[in-house]
Amino acid sequence: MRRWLLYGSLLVLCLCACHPIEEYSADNRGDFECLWTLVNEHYCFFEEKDIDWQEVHQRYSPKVSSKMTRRQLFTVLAEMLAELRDGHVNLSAGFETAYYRDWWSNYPENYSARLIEQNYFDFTYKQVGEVTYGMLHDNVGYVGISSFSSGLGSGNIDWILADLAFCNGLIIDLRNNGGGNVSNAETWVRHFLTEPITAAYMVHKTGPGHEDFDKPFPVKYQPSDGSIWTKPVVVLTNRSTFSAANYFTAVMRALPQVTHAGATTGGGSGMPMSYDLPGGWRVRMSAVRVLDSAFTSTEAGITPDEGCEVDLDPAATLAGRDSMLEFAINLINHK
Amino acid sequence: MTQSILRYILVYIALLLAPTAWSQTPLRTIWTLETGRVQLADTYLSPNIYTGYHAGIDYDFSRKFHGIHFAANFDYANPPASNASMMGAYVDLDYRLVTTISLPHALRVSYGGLVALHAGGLLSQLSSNNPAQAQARITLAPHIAAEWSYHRWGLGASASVPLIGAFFMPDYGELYYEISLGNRTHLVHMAHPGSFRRLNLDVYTDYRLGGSNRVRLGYRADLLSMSANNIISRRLCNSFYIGLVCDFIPWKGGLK
Repeated sequence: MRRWLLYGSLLVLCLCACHPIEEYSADNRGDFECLWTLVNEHYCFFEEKDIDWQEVHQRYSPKVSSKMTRRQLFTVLAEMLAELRDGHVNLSAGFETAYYRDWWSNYPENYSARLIEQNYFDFTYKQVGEVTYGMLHDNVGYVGISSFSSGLGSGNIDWILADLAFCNGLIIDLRNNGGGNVSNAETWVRHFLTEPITAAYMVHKTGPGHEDFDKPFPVKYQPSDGSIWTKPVVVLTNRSTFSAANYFTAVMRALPQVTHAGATTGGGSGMPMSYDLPGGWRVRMSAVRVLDSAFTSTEAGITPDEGCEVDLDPAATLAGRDSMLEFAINLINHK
Repeated sequence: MTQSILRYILVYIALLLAPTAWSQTPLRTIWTLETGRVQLADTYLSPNIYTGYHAGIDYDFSRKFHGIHFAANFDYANPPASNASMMGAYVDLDYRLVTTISLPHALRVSYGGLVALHAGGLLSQLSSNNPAQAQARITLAPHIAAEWSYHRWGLGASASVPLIGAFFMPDYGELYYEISLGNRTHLVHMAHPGSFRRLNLDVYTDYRLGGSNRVRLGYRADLLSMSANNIISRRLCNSFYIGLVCDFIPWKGGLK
């Protein structure tokens, strides 16, 4: 009887034992190791960017000590994260959020909102949320979307497209659109579809290994129940067209009536996830790869269609003209 | 495989809940309010272990051979740095079938099994595209309880340890957005001692107020650990509760 009780107790203990979770100390070393491990296990572009993350650990680990201040540690960790060359990677503390900025700061800005608002609309453009719109010269419609963060409803987009319905074509200006919510981009895309499409493929991780990925999952879009725009469209981008705006560009440029013009986008095709560190800081990183409809990664940016790469001409800017916008107007007029 | 198991479990529940199973036996209802400490960990949301508070309300309805237990629970916890929070809200519904034997010295022992349904989720304040973790599961567990009474006082304990079932867990790096788009693979997992471990332990003392009512003071330990898709989710909860126990004796032979 005693033996059975002993066996029974042991069995119950085994059945109730918790699965182990690696714990990190809430100090400088713990934060460093936790951050490095989180990135090692969740970041999704190691192979694509040819990053040796083990080597990064060897290089940065000696820089971390228990004697350094939290601000000093923050600087070291931010430098380590910059090795990922990813605008979706941030480290947030109570006193600062670290951003990797080289993806846009090494490129021309190629955009001036004031130039358009003043010289093309004389400040009479219409505005709904993060969208400005109106009619340009030569009967060309203009929609500037500065962000996909808050988004518009399909009904709002119906109103905008109805207002521009008599235009020969439409310019969607995504310059300096840093992204936002992908589902807000979807709401816009559906107004340009005449039939269902496979817009993109999502590829999530299935484990902590650098190449542990599930098979690509197709993201399918249906045409909107509202108004559908079938006339020519030019999507205008610059290097600061990032994340959800980069995604929108990738989906739109695959449509037959759409031309992509301007400068190469900033990329940012990974969908980020966030985690907190033992010391209370927070890291955000690309964790899910999104491929375009041709299974191509757009993480490094999307180059405009052939012959449609154009930068802002400083001389034209001084004369009050947006040379990129003029290029797009020309494209519409010659379609 | 998992779907077949789910189908068998659902058929089993349907048979258990058949009206013929309900007989005219003494009926007991128990209402309890509980509060205590909780430890939450879910590696989908955070690498850290959060600690905080728990509150819950339970209702138990039992006859001689079977009973239903319903619980609504709420957790609020903080990470080691205390600069964020994680909240959990869950409902549980258990149906148990037991055999009770009376032993000398007013000791009664019940044993049997229970089907446990659970639904709820965790919400993290810090995470962006991964702000929440849903929970859903169905498990089968052996159940044992013992109760001893002496004059106005009573002592009791019960325990259950799930052995098999099914539970939900997203894939390692999968966003709920992708699930909402229709990617439903790798979401349902078989619960077995390797993937799902839980102990629900209940120890209490009763004091008879008079008539058929008793006040109950107890301690409840709920230990849960799940692992699937390289994600580990844990909840350790220790709580004390106060409750009211009501015993009703129905008419013998029923209505005529």
